Amino acid sequence: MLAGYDTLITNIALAVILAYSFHVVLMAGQLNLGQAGFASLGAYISSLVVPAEPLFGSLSPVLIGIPVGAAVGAGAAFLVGLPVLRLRGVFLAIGTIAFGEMVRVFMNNAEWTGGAIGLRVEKWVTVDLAWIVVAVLAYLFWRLGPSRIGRAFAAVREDELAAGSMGVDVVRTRMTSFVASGAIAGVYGVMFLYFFGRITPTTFDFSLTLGGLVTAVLGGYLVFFGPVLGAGFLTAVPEIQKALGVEAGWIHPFITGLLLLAVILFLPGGLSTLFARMRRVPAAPDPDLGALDGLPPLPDRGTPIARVRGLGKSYGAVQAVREVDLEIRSGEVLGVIGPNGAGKTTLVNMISGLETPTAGEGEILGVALGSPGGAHRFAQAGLSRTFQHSKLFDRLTALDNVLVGTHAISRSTYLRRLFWMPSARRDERRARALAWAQLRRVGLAERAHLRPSALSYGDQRRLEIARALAAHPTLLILDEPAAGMNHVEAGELAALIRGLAEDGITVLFIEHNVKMVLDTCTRLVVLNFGEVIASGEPHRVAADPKVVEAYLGAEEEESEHVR
Amino acid sequence: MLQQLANGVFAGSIYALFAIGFTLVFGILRHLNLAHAAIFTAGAFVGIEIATRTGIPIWILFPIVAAIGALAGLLLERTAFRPLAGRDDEHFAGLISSVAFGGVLIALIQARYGTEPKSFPREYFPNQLFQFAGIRVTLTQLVTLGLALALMLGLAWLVSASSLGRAMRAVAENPTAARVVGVNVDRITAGTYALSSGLGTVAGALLALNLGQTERSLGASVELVGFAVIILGGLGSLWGAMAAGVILGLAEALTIHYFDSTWKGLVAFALLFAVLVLRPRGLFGHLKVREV
Amino acid sequence: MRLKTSSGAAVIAAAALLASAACVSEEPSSNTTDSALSGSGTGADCVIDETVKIGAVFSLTEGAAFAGLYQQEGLTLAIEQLNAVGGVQYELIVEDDKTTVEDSVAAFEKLIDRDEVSVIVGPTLSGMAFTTYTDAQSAGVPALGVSTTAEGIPEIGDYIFRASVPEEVALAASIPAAKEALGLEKVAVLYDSADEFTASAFNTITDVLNDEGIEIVVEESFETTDTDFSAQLNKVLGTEVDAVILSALPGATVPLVKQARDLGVEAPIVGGNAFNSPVLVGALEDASEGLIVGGAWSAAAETTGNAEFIAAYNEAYERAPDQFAAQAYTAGFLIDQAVRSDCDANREAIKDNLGQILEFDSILGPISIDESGEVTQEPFVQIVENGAFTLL
Repeated sequence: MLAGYDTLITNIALAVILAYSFHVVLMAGQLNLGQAGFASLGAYISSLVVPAEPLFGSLSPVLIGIPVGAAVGAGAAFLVGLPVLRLRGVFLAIGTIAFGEMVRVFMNNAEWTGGAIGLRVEKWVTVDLAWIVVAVLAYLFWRLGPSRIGRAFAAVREDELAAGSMGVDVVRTRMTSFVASGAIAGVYGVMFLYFFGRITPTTFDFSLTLGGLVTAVLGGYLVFFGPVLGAGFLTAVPEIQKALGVEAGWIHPFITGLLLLAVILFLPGGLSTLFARMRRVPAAPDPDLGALDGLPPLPDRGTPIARVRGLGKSYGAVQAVREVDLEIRSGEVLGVIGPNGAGKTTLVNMISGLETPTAGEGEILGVALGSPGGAHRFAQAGLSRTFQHSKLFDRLTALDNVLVGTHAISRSTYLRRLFWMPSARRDERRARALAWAQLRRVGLAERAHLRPSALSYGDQRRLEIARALAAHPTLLILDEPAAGMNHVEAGELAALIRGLAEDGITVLFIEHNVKMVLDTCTRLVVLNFGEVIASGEPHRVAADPKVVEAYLGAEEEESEHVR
Repeated sequence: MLQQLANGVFAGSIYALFAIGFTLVFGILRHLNLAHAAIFTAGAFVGIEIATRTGIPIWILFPIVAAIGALAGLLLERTAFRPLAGRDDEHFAGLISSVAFGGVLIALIQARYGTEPKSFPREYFPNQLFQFAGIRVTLTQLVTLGLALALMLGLAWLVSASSLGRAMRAVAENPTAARVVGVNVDRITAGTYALSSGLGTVAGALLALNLGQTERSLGASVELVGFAVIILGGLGSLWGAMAAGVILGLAEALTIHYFDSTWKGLVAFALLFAVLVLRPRGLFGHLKVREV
Repeated sequence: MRLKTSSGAAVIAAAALLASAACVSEEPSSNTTDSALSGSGTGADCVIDETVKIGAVFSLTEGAAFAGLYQQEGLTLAIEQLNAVGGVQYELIVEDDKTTVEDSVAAFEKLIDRDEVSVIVGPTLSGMAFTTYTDAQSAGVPALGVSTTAEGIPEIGDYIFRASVPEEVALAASIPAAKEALGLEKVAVLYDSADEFTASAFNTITDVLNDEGIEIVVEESFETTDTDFSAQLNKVLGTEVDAVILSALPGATVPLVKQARDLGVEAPIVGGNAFNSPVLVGALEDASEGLIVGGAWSAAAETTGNAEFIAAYNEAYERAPDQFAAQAYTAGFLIDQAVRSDCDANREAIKDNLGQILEFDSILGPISIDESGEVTQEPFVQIVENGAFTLL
């Protein structure tokens, strides 16, 4: 290759590999900083099994080391992940840093590692091999982006609760990214060891972790080639300074630091932002109704699909919901109303699996309340919901938001995408057709390529409904969908909900807009102080004196509060 | 044995000193400020330079160093954190921008002070050995412990009783709500950084006095233990940080006493790991209820 | 269907590429001899037309910059003085390895392949030398270490030399000297277990102590970044020792010695190479009194040119030189000696002649390098008295 630049080029490749081990967790929003520990374990353990002689006379022995390093890193990440992944954010970061330090001290004290004096091996890694590993990783991440698991990563990164409500198994997704990170870090450790021929426990210290993190964030973790950009930049800056004749010394780290700061401040999303404008606006495909045909039929009208008995939830001394009995039948539009603080949101949170009841029992679409697993199990059973404060995935386009909605009813495509299997392409096309159909249904097809923040408030609420609909739900829960909408928008929304009911979707919705509730609901439930005070045919319930009193009383309270 | 306990407490007070500034920013703003180690180091170098040039007594020196640190903190907040506020990637980007700021600061330290270690002038702060009930204690150890306690008390008073502290707590609870009720969140944020960095620089100068010299890696050497302290002590808990620092110091001293000193490095992180797994809120922290 | 075939072909192509890249290719080192680099005359009369390129890799930033900058200054001073002599002109190319292995290896590659230097001085740390020297060896470029004191460095190959007395030699001199001066019988050993240099020195210390029949009563370790040593020192205080043997980097040495004295450890402290710095004495003040240090150079030594070196260095850089500067300075003269002996600055010639330096009269005293690349030099054992290093 370029004579005299082999090491420089290989250094870039190694930095890219390390950055990918951060990239994969950052994609899923996890701040794992234990890579130094995984790399150390991968390197040291591979040194025990990598033969000293070339394989079959000519093959690099590292070909054995790489899978061993990956397996060791992945295994260690899994074991560490079991306890640590309950943590989030900075806590996860510090917990994993602690793991890395523990590995370093352990390696320093173990006999077989040579302690602080380190380990020396033959240099088996060549520049070509290093770049082939980079190419393989880049390929893996390129194919990951627009796949089902890739979307799940993005959804978990943006909003774990919403992701779970869309059927994404959050725990598993986080663990997957964590284990992948461990595997890549393990490979990095092996590549480092067999390129430089020597490691000591301090090779894998906190500064290595910081370097990898900086590279990954600098390049950008929203696109698959981010680590290459980051590593290229960080290698190029000192080289350019050298070429310009800047004297070595403090000025080099000074300029590198300033440039790093500038990139982070002015390019949100890292260097890859520079390439973002090249992306095409997706064109809406022709309506593909064939894709919708294959969906499973909804249950017959009138079939009981959910039932809860004596449901209650208390937070310490506060009883948010008590003794609620409720049965939901297929095809009905059930309105839940009640004054602020009546426990409406708590009730639907329990029904959708986001909160565990403290009393009572129930079964929603065949899933028992309180059973382990969390919200995604309810979503996979056919429950879909929106939130009182919309929980859209901020850094995904409207179309990608809705595509996440198809998670529960689609199959994993990643492995098949790696091998360009036509069936994966078919599945992806079907998911897109479903997503476009829902965007059209709520009238957002024209804005499919925008991010949620660029949409009006009413459009955001509609987008959330489209996302929920993309899961082809049996039961759709809407938490105050008309909040903040004007009369025209609320009217359109009411029409949409009636249309959904005609299609056989069961709708449960919380709403303050009484007119809209009366216009759309087939049945009404009124909550006050966590209890059901009335239920039945909407107009009759609305006339119930208890209900009137609850509302008037509440209104008085509210007006007092305002005063 | 008693002596080793005392040693643990003194070593722990250094950890606590590093950690209080760190935990203040973390507790109030949820920022992990990775430039804190560099600010800490800068405090040591600046303290030494001022002491060397002017020879002013230590009780004047430390306030001056703190003021310089506060200015650095304002600059840090302005350049590395405020421009990121409200961005989707605020969290990750803040880590990187603070690393970058720290890198620039360390480069500037090398530019001004060179690569050699620096130390306080001869006879600047004569050290003395005291004996209480068979325990040997040096004057710097006492000053370190005393100052750590004093700063902690002052800070606790500030946070709990002053109007600035009330505003800080409001911001910690909910920045949006604080803004609604009229708290100037930007100013409180800047003030928190100023306070944190002021504490950091004093701690750095004090550690340099303790060690007899400083190097550019001074901050980095306590940074990781600082992480352990803020988590052990609990999110943003000042007394927790003090207690956790002392617990870590004790645990390390006892490991050396009863086991083998080569395993000492494992203690802090094993303890941290265990606490994180068993009690994520930290030993003295409160768990915040997550809202849906 | 077409997609399938093409993807299949792509897989095969990728596999073929992988297989070819994974092959181990042994490139023979190609060493071309440049006739312009060999001149006429020998020794002082040697005249070479072309400028001789000397590469140097030092740590000028980050962790080891405390040593690297002294080395850069020392070597630069030597090259300036040599160029003033005339006959042979040298060009010094210094690379910063930022105290990382990655940059160290990249710097060696640049010097070897792009700058095509005749000889390389450095790197600063032994840890990096272990990996960079294998590259220099396979490329056939002579490398001369000036601070790489770890065990096993010259054994890397016949192109690898060092002008830095290995730690075991320095300690093997300072410990017996201390034993004689202080009558050592029982000692405490404190060492940095996280650093390769100090951990390796610790092994040497235990060997030498065993050979000398000195008993180790306390053995404690700490880590490079530690700031408090009172727990370890208290274990020392609990015993009766004649001396404390310390293996630490300069960063930990100052606080450790200071805390030891503050806590009332009265025993003399004996250390190795890393102790040999005027900065250390300045920082420790009174606490440094009585420190015994074994090293390769002493400001107090009356070796040839030493006083002139110190004066010239002070004038050029406005600070006193240390051992790192002195050894790098000496390396310049050793290379000059090797070039002039055959009046040939080609890599092969330098390699052949560096291994035949016998009793060269330097500021480090008479110094020899044998064919295996190992240095032979009498180490200096010094004691700090009245704030200055004095020969023991």
